[in-house]
Amino acid sequence: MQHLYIQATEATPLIDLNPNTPDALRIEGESYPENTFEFYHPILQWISELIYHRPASITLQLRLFYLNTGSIKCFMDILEMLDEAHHQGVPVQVEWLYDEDNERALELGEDFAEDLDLAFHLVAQA
Amino acid sequence: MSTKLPKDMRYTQAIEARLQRLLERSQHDEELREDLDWLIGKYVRLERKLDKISRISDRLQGEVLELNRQLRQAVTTDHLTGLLNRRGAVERLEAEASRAGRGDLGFCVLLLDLDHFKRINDTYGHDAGDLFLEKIAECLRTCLRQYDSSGRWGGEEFLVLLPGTNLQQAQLVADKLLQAIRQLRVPLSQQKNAPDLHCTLSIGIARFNAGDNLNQVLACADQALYLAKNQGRDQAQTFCPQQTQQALEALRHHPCTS
Repeated sequence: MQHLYIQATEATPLIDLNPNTPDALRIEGESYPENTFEFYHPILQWISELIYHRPASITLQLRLFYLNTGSIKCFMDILEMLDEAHHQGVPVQVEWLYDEDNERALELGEDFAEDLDLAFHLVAQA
Repeated sequence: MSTKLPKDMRYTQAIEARLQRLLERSQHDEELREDLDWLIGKYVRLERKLDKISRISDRLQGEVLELNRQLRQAVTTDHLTGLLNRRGAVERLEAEASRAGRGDLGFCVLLLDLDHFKRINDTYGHDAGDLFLEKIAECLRTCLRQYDSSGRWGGEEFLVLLPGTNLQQAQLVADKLLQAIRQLRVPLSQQKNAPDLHCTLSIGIARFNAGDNLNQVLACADQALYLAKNQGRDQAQTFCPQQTQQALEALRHHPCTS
């Protein structure tokens, strides 16, 4: 598997998915690409492949701000895939990082965490 | 084996009828029943997912709208005084001008300029000057009606917009403002033995009637303000085409000292 690294732009988040460190996968930034599903397709594929290789554990760090509706759908797909991996016995953690004084970002994380069985941590940052 | 559809499933009547029929038919067909259960489960999850996406999307859209509102307010607000800034005041004037219909009262514009404000800045520093401007703004807010608008037009210049007001009424408001500012005392707490800050005001008044040119009305208010300054300050002058022209003409020949 290759290291999937995409630099952040104004409308797309930083993607840092390194197969050698499945405990430190990172997606961070704003997300409103013009063609959301095209942008997220390789990311979904990468995660699906990672799960297929059954790593010892997976940790995904998310630090997200504005998401368009398409991006919300893609993140739910990602989380769903990880939840399935969790059900198959892979220890999966999602860390939702948010500014401690941004209550909306916290609520957004809570919304995403709903209905998931994997370990979803809301992590406030100063 | 149950032939009931799950409760948390939403469907149109047509889907419900067909699913119900399939469930009944699958009673004796293990495999069909399994596939059907799987599909129904998938359908329920999709519905839930759709709800969740909509909820998150709504929340984010709400946040964007709120940020937009804050941004709009920030670009039309004067940070020091909290009044409208020039851009905000112009927008308000334009909105009021386009609203003014024939036959109604139109509105009055007051241009206010603090007399010798430079002395406060020069003597006590810009912080004192800023503090004084904040107090002036507070004073304006207190004196005006809820639907009047006030903005910081320039450094020590303010603009007041009085909707549905004629010149006589505007003159009354101007008198009230003149008196309030005349009586205003702002203590300089940090500086010992410093006297309270105070200042007077000069005001130029002009009226906008439906069909008038807004810039011309503002120029008229400015001329009236110029007259108020030159006739001794601490007063309001109303723009009347002939009188103001005559007075300005006279001033050109006998200008008073600033």
